[in-house]
Amino acid sequence: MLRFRSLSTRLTVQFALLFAGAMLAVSLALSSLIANNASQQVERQLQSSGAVYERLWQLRSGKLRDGADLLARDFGFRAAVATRDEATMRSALDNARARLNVGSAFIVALDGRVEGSADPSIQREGPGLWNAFDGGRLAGVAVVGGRVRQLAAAPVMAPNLIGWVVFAADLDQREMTSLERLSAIPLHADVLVRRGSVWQSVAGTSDPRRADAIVLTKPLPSLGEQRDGSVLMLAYPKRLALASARRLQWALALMTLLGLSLVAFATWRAAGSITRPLARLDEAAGRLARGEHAELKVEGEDELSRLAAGFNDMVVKIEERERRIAHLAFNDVLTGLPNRTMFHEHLGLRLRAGKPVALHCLDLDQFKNVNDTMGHPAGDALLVAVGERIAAICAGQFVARLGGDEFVVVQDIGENERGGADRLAEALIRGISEPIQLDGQMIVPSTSIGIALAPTDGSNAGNLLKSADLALYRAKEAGRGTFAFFEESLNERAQQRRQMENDLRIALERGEFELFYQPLFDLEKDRIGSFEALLRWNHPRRGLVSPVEFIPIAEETGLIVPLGAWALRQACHEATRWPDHVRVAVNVSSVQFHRPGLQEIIVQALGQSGLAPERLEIEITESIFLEGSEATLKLLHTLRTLGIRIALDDFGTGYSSLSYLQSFPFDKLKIDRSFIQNLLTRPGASAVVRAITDLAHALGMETTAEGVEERGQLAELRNQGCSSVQGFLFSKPMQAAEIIRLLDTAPARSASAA
Amino acid sequence: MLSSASAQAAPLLIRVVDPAGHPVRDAVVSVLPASGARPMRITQRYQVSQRGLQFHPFVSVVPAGAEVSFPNFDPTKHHVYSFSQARSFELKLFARDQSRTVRFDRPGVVALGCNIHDRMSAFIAVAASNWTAVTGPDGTIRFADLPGGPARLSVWHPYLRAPGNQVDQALGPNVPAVKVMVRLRPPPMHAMADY
Repeated sequence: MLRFRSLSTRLTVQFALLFAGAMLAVSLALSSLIANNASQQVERQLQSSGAVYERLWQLRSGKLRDGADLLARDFGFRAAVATRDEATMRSALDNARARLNVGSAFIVALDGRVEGSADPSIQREGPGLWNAFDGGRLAGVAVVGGRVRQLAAAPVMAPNLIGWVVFAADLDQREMTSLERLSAIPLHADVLVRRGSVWQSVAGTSDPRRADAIVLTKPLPSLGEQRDGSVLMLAYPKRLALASARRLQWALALMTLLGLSLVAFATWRAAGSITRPLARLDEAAGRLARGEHAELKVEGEDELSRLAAGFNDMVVKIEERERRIAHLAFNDVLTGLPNRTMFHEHLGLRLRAGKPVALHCLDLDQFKNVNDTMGHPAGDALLVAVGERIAAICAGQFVARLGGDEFVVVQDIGENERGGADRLAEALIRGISEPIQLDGQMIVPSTSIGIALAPTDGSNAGNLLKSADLALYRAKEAGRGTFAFFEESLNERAQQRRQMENDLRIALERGEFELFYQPLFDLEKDRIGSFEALLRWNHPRRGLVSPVEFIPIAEETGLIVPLGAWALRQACHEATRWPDHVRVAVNVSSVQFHRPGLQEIIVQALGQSGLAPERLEIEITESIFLEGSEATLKLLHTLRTLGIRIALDDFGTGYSSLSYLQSFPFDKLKIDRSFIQNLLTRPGASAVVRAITDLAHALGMETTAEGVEERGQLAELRNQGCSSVQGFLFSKPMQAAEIIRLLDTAPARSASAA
Repeated sequence: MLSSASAQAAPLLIRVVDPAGHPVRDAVVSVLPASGARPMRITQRYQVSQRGLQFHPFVSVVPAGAEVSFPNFDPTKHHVYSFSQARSFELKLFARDQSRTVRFDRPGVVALGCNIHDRMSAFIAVAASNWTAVTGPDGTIRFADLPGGPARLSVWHPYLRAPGNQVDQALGPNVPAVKVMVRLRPPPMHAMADY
């Protein structure tokens, strides 16, 4: 089966073949009909010519026989024959021959002799003729005297049969020609005589036995030997016979060819008109598949046109859908700003182009508070509003939301144009901090911005974003509503932090931590009232690492939770070796408070060590209230109910400490060392301490002064009514082993100190 | 004719049939003894008349030297002729009740015709032997007084298919009966009524 790439070709070929087949079949049928018809016509004409000839033959035969009869009945002639009067007989025969205009006339006697003929060669045929005549065959063809002749005989009765009068006419070309003239068609007539097994032409005008002739044969009566025969042959050359038919066939063939050409052309045209729109559709579909825009011209109202219109409609809808999908893929659903993916694309593109850009990384300050206190819908509304403000301020620059409250701006700047980035950051901080109405509440948003410059601070999008993040981190450290540029030192610090994170994890596993204890001296009872447990890290390379360095990192990474738990257990365990009146104080980070399980950790530490809850003091800072909630207060109350004491550390450095004092009944306030350091030098410092101790007394709380290093300070603090002191004046933090020794001597030392 | 039979003579019965076994009439049967023929004696007036445009009888036997008259009983004239070698003659156009007489001297068969009426034909056998006769409808001839000894038998018929319309055969001595089978041609038109 043929395969076609083109529908048009296939239609053309198929229909052309179909029509051609039909036309050829019809043409062949017609052609053979014409040929048959012509043959039949020729045969009919031959038949009629044959019939005419037969009639002619009989006419002449009759004429000959009539002549013979007439002569045979002549009395004188009969007398001459009967009496063998040869001279009379011969003259009578000559007379009749001349009258009838025949070739020869003679007598065949009853004994087979031929009489009355001048030609002696006829004698030989006598017995053969006698046989025929005696058998009743009186007319026919016979070879007489070496020539083929038409014979007719009549019996001579005198009164009984005494012989036959025979008249013979030559069969020659003249005879045949006259016969041919009678025919309507140009036929060839001939008489064939069989001699032995060979048929011999005796009178033909040409050889009619050619293969390309239509031949009709008619047997003629034969008077010769029994096995001899003779036929009349009428032949018509096929070429002539079918000449008119050939002309018709040629005309038919020509018409067929013409018809085929017309059919092929018409089919080609029709197929083209059907398939051209399909080809255009095919081509347009190809373009659509390649992602190009494709549109078809719509002509008319037929199926193909409707198909084209439908295709156009489909293209529009596909493109619309593609745009929507692309938008969804590259844009933030909430604000409609480009998303992180698109940001990376864009920034990558800018960086690859080698254009200097400033990447601003924005983070809203205190956004979590808004979500927590006002709910997510309000938070979302704030994000939308902020997004709009950023986009308005940074018109012409690329703005994206990376997620949460994190936005970025990619600013095109000139070479080393740090000032442009400066100005934009300031404009952003100013613009975003416009007050905004949310859920009926007025809110003043604020943002911190970290800026990284390309190509200096990062050659690719990932690096640059990391740099901007570090700068943002630093800006946040520096205080809210500020911006900071990236510096290489930030990167180093970040690396150190990462290093420390790793070390911390390992340290926890290896047990590199140790608790030091700093005593708190009870001024009223004049003895050591408790020890504050302080974490120390025995770093294998760096030696002892200060908590100031690693605690913030432990808090950020969450390591503070297991570390704090360990500290609690260790401190409780250690404290059991101390006298019953000596308590142990453990610092608990706000991170620990906000993670679940703190209560269980504390209870476990007490249970495992067997330490009385009253001997454990938890030190917290105000920061636990910053993200504080009901849960925090509830936990604090529970701990107090258990008998555990709660102390507020670093009092006086925070924000609005007094309100906390009302919200929770602390057991102790620890006055920050900053008040103690300047106690003797700064005017009014004593008054502040006095105010705190008075307040604490009023609320039923104890007070501890931190960082006491001088005797004067101690005296002043005693004056101001402080319950206990802590500091180098009395003791530095010490290892657990030292405490046992100290406790033995403590009363003496305390006395001296007092 | 049969009265001349001698004492030592023997009778002979001859029967002429066609191949189908049917008797053949009008056959002239002649026996010629080896001892010699005895001439036939003229015992009567012989006659071949014309009546109803036919000769009567069709075949007759006459002794040599006999005179035969040809009376015409038809209202038309006849022209009786014969070209036979035994006796060639012509009796031109004689009318009714006219009669001519012709004398036949030589033995042989004389064919008679009428030049006016082709259908008319008759034969007169001029006998050389006393033992010559024409078969009747039963096709048989009985010779009572044939001399003993071998003889020759010949049968002639107008339509017999044989040279001279005649077949001969030898006859042994004292054969009491002989059957001769002959083959006949279809008769010509003028004799069809009888055959």
